[in-house]
Amino acid sequence: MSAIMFTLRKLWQNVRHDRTSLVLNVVVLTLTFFTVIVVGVGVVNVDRLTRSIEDQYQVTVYLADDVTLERVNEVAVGLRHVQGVREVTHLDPESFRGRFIEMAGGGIDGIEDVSTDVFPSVLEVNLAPDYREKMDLGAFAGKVSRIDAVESVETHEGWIQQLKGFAGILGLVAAVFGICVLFCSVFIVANTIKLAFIKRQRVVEVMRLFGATRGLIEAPVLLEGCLQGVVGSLAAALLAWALITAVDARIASILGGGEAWSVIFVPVSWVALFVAVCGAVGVIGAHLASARALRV
Amino acid sequence: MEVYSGDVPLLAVKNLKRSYPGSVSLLTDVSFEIWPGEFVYITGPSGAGKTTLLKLLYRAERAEGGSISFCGKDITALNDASIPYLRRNVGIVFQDFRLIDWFTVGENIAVPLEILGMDGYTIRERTRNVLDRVGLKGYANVMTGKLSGGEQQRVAMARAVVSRPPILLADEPTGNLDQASASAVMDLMESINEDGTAVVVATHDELLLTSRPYRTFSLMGGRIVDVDYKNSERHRKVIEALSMEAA
Ligand SMILES: Nc1ncnc2c1ncn2[C@@H]1O[C@H](COP(=O)(O)OP(=O)(O)OP(=O)(O)O)[C@@H](O)[C@H]1O
Ligand SMILES: [Mg+2]
Repeated sequence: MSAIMFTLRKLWQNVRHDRTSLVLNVVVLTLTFFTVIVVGVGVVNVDRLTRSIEDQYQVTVYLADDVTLERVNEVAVGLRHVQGVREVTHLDPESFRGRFIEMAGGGIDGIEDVSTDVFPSVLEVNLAPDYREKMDLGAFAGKVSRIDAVESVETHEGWIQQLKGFAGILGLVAAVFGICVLFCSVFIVANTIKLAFIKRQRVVEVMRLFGATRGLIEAPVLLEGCLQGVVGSLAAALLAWALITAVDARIASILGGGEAWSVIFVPVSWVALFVAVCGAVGVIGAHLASARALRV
Repeated sequence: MEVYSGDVPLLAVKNLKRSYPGSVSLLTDVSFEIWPGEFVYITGPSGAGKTTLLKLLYRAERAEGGSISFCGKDITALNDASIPYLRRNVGIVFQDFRLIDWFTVGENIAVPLEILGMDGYTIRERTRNVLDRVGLKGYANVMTGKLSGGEQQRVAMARAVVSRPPILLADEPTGNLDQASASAVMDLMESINEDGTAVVVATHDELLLTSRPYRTFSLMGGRIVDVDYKNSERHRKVIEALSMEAA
């Protein structure tokens, strides 16, 4: 108990002596950690976007021209029973044409006059993402295309792979960046604590003269480093949260809302983990500095 | 540290040797004893090794040969981790005070007590008493850097004795002070000594040696060449007083 009181007292005395450089350092750390959080937010949002795209992912089954509606329904029911299939929707040429016109946004002249016959009749097979990942899509497509009513099957597999690959690379780059920044932060903390040690040389000297053990001298310093990391990362998280909230509100006001185009913040558990890691970063930095300063 | 019974010297230095690389050997063969409650000067010309000798006593320097026993325990053999526990039993005062300017007087004095793990109440009580003792009543919340040299040295003495160590080491305690302040500091040294604390003052101040004569060790050529027992009478009285208290 008295050791804790001692540590807190010394921490307060140290902090009181050198407020400006402490505040400056926390500001630098806040900005540094801010970049990590913003990158984290980017990763979270790209991931969410990829998921929502994957969620809408479907295999397009082009039906032969002469198939009866009855046969179409039979095939649809059959497909619905395949494991991993979430939904099967039939688009007849008329609705396919409607969708096409809607997507083109009326930009193509004379599209209204094009006959319905040009458009195919299709079944859109929506797959649960969890299943799709394990599924051999090629084999699935092969089987489906062997059904008599089916003309061809389009899996869009390459595109999905590309999307996932891109998200994966982005995540990797973000992780490398985050680790680099945290690594540098160790030295930011170490450097201020080192400077603080020089300014407070007298305190260390006096404590040693009157029989303070190394632990007693080091404890307030480690706590100081830890607090720098924790306060810096919390401030950074708060700043990033405010920024993301503002950006999200702006997007909503431009696009008039809608789930797909909102920006979300990282989960609270990530923030908690990040703050803990930054606290540890502070302790490591402080220890690096004090180990040098206290070498006998 | 084991309980000290008082039947061995508080400090026993035997054949102590210390030199610095590149220079002539400084302390070649130093031996002396200090008993509880004694007042002792260590004197000698500048560069004779007074500061070095004191540093050896609180283990800021390592001996090259010989032994130093404190309360019967050899401290030359202490490992680094044990040094703090030795220092908790030694009060130290320097010529340049070595106070922390941006601490209040009270905070400076509290350092040794905090290191001993004392609670806030005891620390405040002891700080108040010792400030009273050194004539700085009511100075606890004053910033140390604002005080005069003489006052700062008295704060340093308060800090050195607040944990009630059996011995006080002072390296040129009056070196930076004018006559009046020096005299006040020496009065304080004597009154601390009267309470039973052994006091060792390293000084080359001739005036001090003659105006307040005590047992004096003169360092010269790496040895203690002159042991002056002017104070032996007074020393005997202190010992008697101590043993009467104990009885
Ligand atoms: N760390 C060191 N390295 C090398 N030489 C040293 C070191 N410390 C002290 N000395 C030398 O040892 C000699 C004695 O120094 P010391 O400070 O003990 O003398 P002193 O008797 O206290 O002198 P003064 O009266 O001037 O304070 C000096 O010549 C000094 O230069
Ligand atoms: Mg000296």
